[in-house]
Amino acid sequence: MRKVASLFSIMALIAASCVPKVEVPAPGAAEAAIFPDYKNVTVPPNIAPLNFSIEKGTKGVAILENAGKKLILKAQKGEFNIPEDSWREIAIPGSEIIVTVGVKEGGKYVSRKPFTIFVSEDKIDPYVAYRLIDPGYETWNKLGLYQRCLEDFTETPIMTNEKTDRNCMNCHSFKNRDPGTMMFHMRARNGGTFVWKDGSIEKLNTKTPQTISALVYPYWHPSGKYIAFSVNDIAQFFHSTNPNRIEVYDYKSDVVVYDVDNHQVSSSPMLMDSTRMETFPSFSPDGNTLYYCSTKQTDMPQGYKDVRYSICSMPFNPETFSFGDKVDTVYNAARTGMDATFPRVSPDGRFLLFAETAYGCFAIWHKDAELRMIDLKDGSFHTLDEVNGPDADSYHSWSGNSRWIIWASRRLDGLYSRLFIAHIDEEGKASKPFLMPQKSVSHDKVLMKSYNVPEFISGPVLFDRDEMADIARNNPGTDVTYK
Amino acid sequence: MVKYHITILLLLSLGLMTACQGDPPSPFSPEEVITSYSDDGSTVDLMRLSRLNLALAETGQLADKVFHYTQAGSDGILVPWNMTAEAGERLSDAYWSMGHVAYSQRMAFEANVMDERDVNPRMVKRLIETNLVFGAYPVARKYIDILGKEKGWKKVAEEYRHFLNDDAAIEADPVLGQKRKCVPEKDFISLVRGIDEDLKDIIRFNPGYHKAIEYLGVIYLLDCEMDKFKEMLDEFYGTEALPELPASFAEAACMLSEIDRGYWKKVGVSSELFKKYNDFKSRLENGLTPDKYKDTFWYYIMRVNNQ
Repeated sequence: MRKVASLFSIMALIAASCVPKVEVPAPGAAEAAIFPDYKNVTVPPNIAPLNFSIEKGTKGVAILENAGKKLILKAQKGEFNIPEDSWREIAIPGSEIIVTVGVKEGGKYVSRKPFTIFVSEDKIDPYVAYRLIDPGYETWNKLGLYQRCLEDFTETPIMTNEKTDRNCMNCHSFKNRDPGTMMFHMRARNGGTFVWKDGSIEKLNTKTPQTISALVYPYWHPSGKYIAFSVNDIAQFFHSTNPNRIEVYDYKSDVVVYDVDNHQVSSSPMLMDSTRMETFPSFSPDGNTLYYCSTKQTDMPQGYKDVRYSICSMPFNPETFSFGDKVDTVYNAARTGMDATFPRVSPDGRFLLFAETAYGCFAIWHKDAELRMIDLKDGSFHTLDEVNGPDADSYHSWSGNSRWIIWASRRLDGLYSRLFIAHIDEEGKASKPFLMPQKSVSHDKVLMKSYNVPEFISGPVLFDRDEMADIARNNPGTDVTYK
Repeated sequence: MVKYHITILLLLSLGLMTACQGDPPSPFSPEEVITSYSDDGSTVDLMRLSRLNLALAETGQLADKVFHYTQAGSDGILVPWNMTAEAGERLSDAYWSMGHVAYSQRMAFEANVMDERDVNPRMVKRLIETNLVFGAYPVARKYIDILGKEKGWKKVAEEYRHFLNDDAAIEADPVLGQKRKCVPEKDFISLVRGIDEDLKDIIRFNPGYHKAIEYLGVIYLLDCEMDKFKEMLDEFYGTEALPELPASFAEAACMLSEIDRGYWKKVGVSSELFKKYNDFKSRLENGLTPDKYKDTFWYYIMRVNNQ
């Protein structure tokens, strides 16, 4: 019945387009060759239209049907651009959109096998923040932190380096996806850590005599009073043959926690163990547990393939700014033989999401890197086969309702990372992921930048970029001390 | 008169068509770079010198004629990496020429990033080539699409499209095939041991690619690393990689006979050349100018020692 409906629709369109004939899609007809692959994906009801394309130079039509509503589109230069208001009408929460694509072949339109877009009832945070960088080796030129409204296609800069002498900026982090409480680093010229909180900007000089570097990989405590950081002596080298191209590694690293109001960092002997390297800290949603990655101290770079990070946890007391004395191993690298980084607990506290790879600390450069998940309720391990692709999948964050994850994946071309989103249900079952939709479908194919460190946020970051640049250039900054 | 105007119009439109179809701005050929190079014997512009040395390498003359020109150490082969687009381009070209595909790719990427234009077409072309060599076809396709959008580069870009997913076509191509043979089976960390060790791995893996050993020997000579140069001859002379010595290597072998008597004979240096070397030495000992040997390694090392 659905196929017949599709046929009528196409015929209606064809009549309007003066095309002579269309064929009924045969059972088992060819799959529609579309980009991005939106076939049978699950999307939030508030997502922007899922524009897609068919093969370049092909004439085509697409019919989107849901709950008696029908949207008929004609490809413009191979792209189907769905009007936002029409998309809203058919993207009904808890429903299915049936999409039929007809492609012109030999003077007539031939239908492809219809596919479904599942519209979840679970909404997604309206914004995502990320860095756009060259997926490169050593240099940078133009780069910046950006925010994209997921409900439409608006992308605006949070901060770009045009105003700060083309310096480097990285490691943006938000307290519970709050755009009003965030931090990021600037490196090289005008360097420092910048905290945007309660409507004001603060510049920090974060290297202390007791720590091995300035503060690096951050994670906000849910109270907003603390930020956990790693301090790292980082280096990289370049492979000659290995398709991973680049190896980023630490000579040494520790984990510390920064007290936002008192400008002090503190740590525990177990987080600064000279026989181990600790990095990538994060807090549990209740703020009482600190997660981090830990591996034995290894001679680098020659031992780079021997590095296996485990995920550990220890109690943290936000009332007294103190650390527990018991370390739990949540993911034991010695047992799995693999390596785990970037632990991130879902806001509901149920799932621990991380990246798993064969070795090392920088999964995004590892083609085998995949997302994995541990159910903290029963300890079960989820391989997330549904979401992982053939290339690096890494750097992930959770939506506020714990039902969506977003991460950077190199699966499209093996180098330039793009943002993928997947639904995770209450039991941890993942749906087929979808590429973050773009207004122009070709955007992701031609953009020579990688999307880096996607973080959901509940609204746009609104600090004044000129004020930020002025502070970066002219404010000497507050020195952080070690408690 | 009308005919004349029509002819002009035709010519003009033909010119416009050519400009629109356009080939990329053609760089000088290696031969042109060599013939147009001016050498005043004292000042050295490393960027220009690196272009000259690249041209010598690409025409198979590096190890024969490198000392025909005023040199400035191995910086004239591999310019110092100062994080500029120009240095990145020079380095990408040099690494590509010596068969170090991974580092050529790295430097092409850096040069493209540092270029004030959104796209540096020549370096994107290099990214296409290097990714094809590595079989990284999806990203090679991306770069082909990007290069094809650059004015005047469409034809160049499209010429690479048929290599996508076709290993046999790449292996049969005289340039890409040779470079693919230079990618060692066993991975190593690029440049951590020094470019010389990387080059040795490339030579061992593809001994028929003689540019690599020419670069290796010349880098040693430019940096006056005689022990390492001798180790290189000991390993590779008489093999497929180095069946006979090019001019500068033979000159250096004469000098090695100072510490290893008769060494010049072991590596096939002619007695005529060895006589010249002795003449050079006696001129020096007698306070005579050895200017007639200005284009030799002996003269170069004398200048370096006098600096």
